[in-house]
Amino acid sequence: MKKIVLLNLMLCMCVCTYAQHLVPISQSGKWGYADEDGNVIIPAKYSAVGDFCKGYAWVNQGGKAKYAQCPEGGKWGIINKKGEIVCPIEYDWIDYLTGDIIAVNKGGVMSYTKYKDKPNHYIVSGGLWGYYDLANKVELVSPQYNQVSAFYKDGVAWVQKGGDLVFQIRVREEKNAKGKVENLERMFEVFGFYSILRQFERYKASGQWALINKKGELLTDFTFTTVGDFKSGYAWAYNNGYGVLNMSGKTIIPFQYENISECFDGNVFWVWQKDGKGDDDLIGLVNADNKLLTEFKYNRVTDFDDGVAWAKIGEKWAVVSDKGKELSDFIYDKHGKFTNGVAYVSKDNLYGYINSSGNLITNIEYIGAQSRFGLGCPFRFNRNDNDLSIGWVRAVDKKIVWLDSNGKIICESDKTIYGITDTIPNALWDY
Amino acid sequence: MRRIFTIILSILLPMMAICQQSDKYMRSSLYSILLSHPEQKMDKEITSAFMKLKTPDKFNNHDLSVKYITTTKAKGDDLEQMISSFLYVNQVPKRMISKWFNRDENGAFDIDLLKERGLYGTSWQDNQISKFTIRGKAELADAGEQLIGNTFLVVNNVRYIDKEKNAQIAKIILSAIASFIPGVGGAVGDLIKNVVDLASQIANLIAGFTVKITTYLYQIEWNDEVANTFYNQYYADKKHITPEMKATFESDTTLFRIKYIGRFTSTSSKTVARGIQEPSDVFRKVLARAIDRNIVDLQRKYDVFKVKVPVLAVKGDRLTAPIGMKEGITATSKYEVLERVLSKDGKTQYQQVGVVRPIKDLIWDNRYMSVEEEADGAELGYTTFEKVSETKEFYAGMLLREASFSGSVVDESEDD
Repeated sequence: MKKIVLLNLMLCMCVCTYAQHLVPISQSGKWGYADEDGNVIIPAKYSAVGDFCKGYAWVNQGGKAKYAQCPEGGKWGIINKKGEIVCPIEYDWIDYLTGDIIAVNKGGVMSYTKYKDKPNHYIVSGGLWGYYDLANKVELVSPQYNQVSAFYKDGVAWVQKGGDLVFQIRVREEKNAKGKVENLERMFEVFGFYSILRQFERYKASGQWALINKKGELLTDFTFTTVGDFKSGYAWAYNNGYGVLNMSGKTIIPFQYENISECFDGNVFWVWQKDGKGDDDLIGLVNADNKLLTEFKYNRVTDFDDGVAWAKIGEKWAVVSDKGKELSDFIYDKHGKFTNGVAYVSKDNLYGYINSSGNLITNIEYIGAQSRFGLGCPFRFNRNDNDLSIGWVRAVDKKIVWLDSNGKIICESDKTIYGITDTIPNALWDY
Repeated sequence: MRRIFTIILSILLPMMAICQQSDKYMRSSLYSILLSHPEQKMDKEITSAFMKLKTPDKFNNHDLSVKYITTTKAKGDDLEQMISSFLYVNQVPKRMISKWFNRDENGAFDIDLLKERGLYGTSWQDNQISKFTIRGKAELADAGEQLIGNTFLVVNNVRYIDKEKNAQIAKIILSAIASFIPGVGGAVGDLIKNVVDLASQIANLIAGFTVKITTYLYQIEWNDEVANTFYNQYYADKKHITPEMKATFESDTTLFRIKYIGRFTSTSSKTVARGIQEPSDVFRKVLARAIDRNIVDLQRKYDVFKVKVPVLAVKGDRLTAPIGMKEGITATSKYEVLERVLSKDGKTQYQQVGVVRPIKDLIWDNRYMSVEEEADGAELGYTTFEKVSETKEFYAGMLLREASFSGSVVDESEDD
């Protein structure tokens, strides 16, 4: 067996990816790449270049490149570490590398300008977007969409027609002592996958979205005015109501709700009943099989953490599981976020802690508690490789009562944070 | 006491037969503490990020429960004296020894941790172990020297650099974080209303979050005097512990000591945004990488703190080892290849049998969050080295240790 492992290791040594670290260099106003010892690996012939990531880097030809990372105009393409062009330098903008697929724009105009009240933004406006496959060096989807998302790992992407939102790229100015801009640095590299769907949503972009696969085939019609990112294989979308699709484009929760949450672990969603009453809408829990797990009876809800969330009826809160089971009575005036399996609860201005089974681990008799159990505490108990969180409550006599996540009292003390000149109580040391 | 000594030996014996494995080798042990500055901006973010960091994987986690303490003193020699005083007053060295022997609430000890961490190499063969009872004392002393004697404490004094240009950014950061509350909490519409421009927050954070870290290095003192007193006067297992023995151990404030080795100061480097999904990632990434860097530079400054890592595989002139950029490897690094041998008195020694250097294209980027960043080399899993010289054929299980560092180590301690 050892021989096999050794053989495998040796094989790996022979075929492993070369991870040469190349850094941009400038020569006579052009940009290329050198290795860490300064040896030129890719000659300086581009107007601007980006950093390598996953073996690819963007290059710009013809742009005004006062700063290496932030050219204006010109055409964009992608090279590999051998300097080979893997995406032709013919696009007006490129972005969103996922795997080997990158979004490409033709016809867009890009400039460094101020956008509304925000300084230091590049603006890419207009043009059409498609996708390019860097591994096979083919245009996967010709530029034809007004906006696109990155491809999700399971091979689908959102594309939009009819939108008018300009695309923003933030840059940071580096100024000298006299306030003159010496360099511009792009805050988000081309290869820094970051969803901008929320940005589209925020700026209320017009147009309608559809889902496509890697073959460029439409999996849905262009019927959604707002869409969300895929999480656990599901994404919400809006079509005269909020609903949920899977990665095949199939509707799994009909578009009938006033609002909807992200998909939580356990594949459940909070949904707001659509009755047109605005803030009085009632909330229920539904799963990915479109099975309603609770009645529409909650006025407010929280995110799920470790399978439990808080729900409110009237003025009182209770713990609800992701199976839709109410784990406590609706008796609490306030609550904390579950942290380390514990959350504070409050009744009549007194505090205690409850666990994620809905059981109190302390009496509700303290005048204060941590907003998140154990968070910010300087202590982390560990015995025999078992971590044990500790937190505190403040007793009526103002003393700090330290306790573990089972509610066992460790000791009392006068303070929650200790200084360098303090003697820390013996009980707060694990050895 | 002889009985206890025999018990210890009988438990130690089996561990000598354990062969060296690639992921299991005798590491130094490390306890790390943060000095927090509540009066400074970003202190909560720094302490929160620090509490989530794990012990560097080339060390055993020897953390005690106290992970940060506050100080208003910012820097300098006075602070070193204050740290030393804190360690003495709170009997930290004794607690670190207690952790080695898993002291329980009744004062009883065991050597489970010694057994677990004391993985002796392939050179410890059965025929040598059969002689163990003769050389028992030396072997036990060796275990202590190799394991307990290589127990370190690092105290990280982290200061947020509040440059004029960062002051405004800090405000933005704090307000942005305050507004970044999970979205479902409100009534209808809150989801949309609470959508904030996360990308913008992260961008501001990366631009504005710079820290200066001074790391103070301490080492447990474990010598024959300490070992003899401990084993003969204090060590007792669950069956033999008495309240008197417990009390005697607790009243001893002088036997267990920790010595100050030195300090290193550096400023955090520029951070790459790739892979950062939320604001707290920025704090962790900046802090983890800066602390890792200080640990590397302390190793370069102080040989006693240097780590040894096992060779994974050897083929021709090349060998691989599970270290990378986190451990400070660059294209110009050089590493000694060491073979572990036993001296006549049963103590472990390391003999240099060659020198290797990393192949620049095959350096593993194992820095904090390099995988999320999709950094070049993050996927390698190990660094490949090539032979510079050898006096004996290399084989898997030998150890690598960085040779004298020829590059520049910029210690900013002088600025303190």
